Amino acid sequence: MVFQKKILREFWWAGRMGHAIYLTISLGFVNFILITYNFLIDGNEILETVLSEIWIFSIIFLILYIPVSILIGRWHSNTQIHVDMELKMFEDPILARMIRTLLDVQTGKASQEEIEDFRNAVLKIEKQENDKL
Amino acid sequence: MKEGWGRRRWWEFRQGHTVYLIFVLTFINFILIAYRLLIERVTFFKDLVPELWIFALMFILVYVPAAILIGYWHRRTQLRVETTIINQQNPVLAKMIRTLLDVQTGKASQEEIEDFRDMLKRIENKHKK
Repeated sequence: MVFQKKILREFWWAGRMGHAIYLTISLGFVNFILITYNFLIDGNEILETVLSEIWIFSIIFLILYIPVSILIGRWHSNTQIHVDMELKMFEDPILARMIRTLLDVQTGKASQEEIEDFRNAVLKIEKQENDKL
Repeated sequence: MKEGWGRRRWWEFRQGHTVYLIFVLTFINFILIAYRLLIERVTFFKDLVPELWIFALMFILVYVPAAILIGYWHRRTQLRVETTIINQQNPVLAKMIRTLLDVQTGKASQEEIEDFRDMLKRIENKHKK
């Protein structure tokens, strides 16, 4: 029963990943193309002469969008992610406590009581008994 | 670690799309839908906002500072709660830290250390347990 529950949860996770990381991109593109074409381009004299068919608009959009997205993502990976990580790490008290306690054990600053308390807290997370935290 | 050229470009594409460009697409979608299906059909709103570009400008002027303020509040008050909850649901990290602690304090047996090292090696080599 527990095994089945775990399998179901893993399927749920896989489904969410498939949706959020892959399929939602296609849904977003189709939404954008349909909405923009019908509510902006269609009926507009100037835009309609350049983009007379929805498939032409779709192809132009995709040809421009994909490389622009890759270039921006590359810039983001090289310059922005470390800022994001820094902000997150500074708001992560559990990880900070874990590393600090390991440091204190290493340098001899941690008392036996502190080590035991910390070990129990980590063990509860490991065994997923978080309600006892 | 060596990853394929295609996989790295896929990662960069997703970063560009999900972190930046999706905002533009979503804004355009929202502006067009709200204007064509709501504002244009209600006389009161149409009198207030007679042109699409005026609505777009007003929306962006209100939305961007509001999003920044909410994001700032999120970072100062909520992010700490979320990282705590996420770490409390991370048994693998807890096991890693606990084993390092046990090695340091001499509580870990040689067998446990070996098992732990094997697990890390499997993760490194991308082999499933």
